[in-house]
Amino acid sequence: MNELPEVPLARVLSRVDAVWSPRAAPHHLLYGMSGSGKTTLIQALLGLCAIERVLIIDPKPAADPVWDGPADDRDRWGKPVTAIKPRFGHDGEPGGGPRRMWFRLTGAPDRAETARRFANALDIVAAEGHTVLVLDDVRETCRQLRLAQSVDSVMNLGRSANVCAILSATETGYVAGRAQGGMVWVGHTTGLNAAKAGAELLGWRGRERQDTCAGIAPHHWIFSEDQPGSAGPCKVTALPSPQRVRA
Amino acid sequence: MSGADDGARTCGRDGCTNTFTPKRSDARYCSDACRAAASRASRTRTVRRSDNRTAAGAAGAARAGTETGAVVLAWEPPSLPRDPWQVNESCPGCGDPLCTGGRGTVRACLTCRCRVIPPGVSAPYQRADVAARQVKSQRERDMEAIALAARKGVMLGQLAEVAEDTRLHPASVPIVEWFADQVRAARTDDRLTELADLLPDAGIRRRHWWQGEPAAIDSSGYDDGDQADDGDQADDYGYGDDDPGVHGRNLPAELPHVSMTSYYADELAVRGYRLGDSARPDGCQIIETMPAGQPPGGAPVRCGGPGTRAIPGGRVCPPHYEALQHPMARKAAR
Repeated sequence: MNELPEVPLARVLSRVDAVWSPRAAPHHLLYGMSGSGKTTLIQALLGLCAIERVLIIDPKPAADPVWDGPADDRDRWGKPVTAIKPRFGHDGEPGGGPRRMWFRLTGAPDRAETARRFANALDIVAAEGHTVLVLDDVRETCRQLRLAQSVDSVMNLGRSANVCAILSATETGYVAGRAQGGMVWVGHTTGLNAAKAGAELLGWRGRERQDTCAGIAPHHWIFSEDQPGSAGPCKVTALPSPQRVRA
Repeated sequence: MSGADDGARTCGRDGCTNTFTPKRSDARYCSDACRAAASRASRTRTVRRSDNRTAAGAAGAARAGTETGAVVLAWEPPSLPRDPWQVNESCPGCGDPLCTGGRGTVRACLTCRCRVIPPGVSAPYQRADVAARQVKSQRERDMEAIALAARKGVMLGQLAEVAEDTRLHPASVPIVEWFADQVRAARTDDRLTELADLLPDAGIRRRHWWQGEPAAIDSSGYDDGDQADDGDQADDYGYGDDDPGVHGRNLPAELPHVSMTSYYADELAVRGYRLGDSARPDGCQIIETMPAGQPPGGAPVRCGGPGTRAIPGGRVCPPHYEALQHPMARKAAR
């Protein structure tokens, strides 16, 4: 197998910016173990969404400090909310982010309450469309909260209702929409089975390619997309700069 | 597959300018040697996946500081940023087309220089052509259920009358029972209306043509408000029509009511018959008090036939049954 080209993240993001749209490749799928840099990469991708309406769904029961912004802008990565309202971002209370259109829906200690919050939010997104939806740990949302059908429904709206999604997962099983990832990012994992799952997400087969996936270091990624003009998969080497958001 | 008439072609191998006349429509090379050479050349290319990934030479490797001089791959897919584009939506202020960009989640009007809520976002909440969703109160649901139960009661009553009518043809009994079951199971008013519409075509009939047709179910004409004003409930149910042959939703037939018991009593009497003990077990119970061919006042004659047919009050043989079906009593009365 040919060696993968190593490409700085900024270069890959410029390519992503060119092809990421509801009509072409609406959804990202990020796969990596905990600590592989999924949230950091999501934040880098959100740098391409400065003017967009963004809903981040974070199922962690407690607030995750990785989503906290700097002291002078605590809502940089979305305003934490426990529920979203119809026409969020356009009407009502402003959110966070560069244009105050980013919202971060948080979970609750009670799993049923978390599921109810997320189901309502996904219903609103399904009805309104026009959202960049970030599902951090989509496996938790789909499997533990039993919202796989809702996630699937929203994913299917991509083209027709202008819904772009970023799904991050630590495992590929029980992940709705994993077949819809127009852009796939495979990061650091441990174990041959995890590497094999990553290779399968990239459409690869064979031991050599699984070894390639197994050799990815934390905060490094293999990026793949198949839009017109694609140069094939590449290794993303440079660490993203999470504090930089292009306004 | 023959491509002999396609004309001459130029060989597809780099460096070969020979022309040839292809024998196959997909032939690209002038000879097997050229085809093999082209195949070898394609296999030895450093990068095959895409033209956007190119191999830099040794100079590039040196610039990159690689000591081994290994090939450094460049990853250069087209990545020009996209300009905002128009969408097929109009600005509510000026009517000009709206623009969007990036991921397409927001809209802007370049004429008004303002941000606009995408129509798709507001659409679920602003449907002028559709009335707002109404939620029925518990009282409204209860009243609907009561009205449905009342209508079902009326229809079941009418069907019960039809079913109990001894003039009903035996083949019609299961049909009436089916209708009764469907009415009981109906959960909506529309279903009752369907059943009422279906009834005239269901083939319910009476045993004999002169008995007319049974009254049709008039469920759609049911109005519980009318019953309070009209004391004659039979009119509400559609009875009272003089035409026995007409049956429909609003013109149910009503026959002059003659019970089977009185009918057979009259027919037995006009013929000089009476029912008594049969001459044998399960035999015909008719006793002819005025047997044909005998002088008046003679001894009554017991029928010795089998009592295979039933009439109110006893069993009769087929010949006597057939005789009793001819209504001599009513003709005599006229």
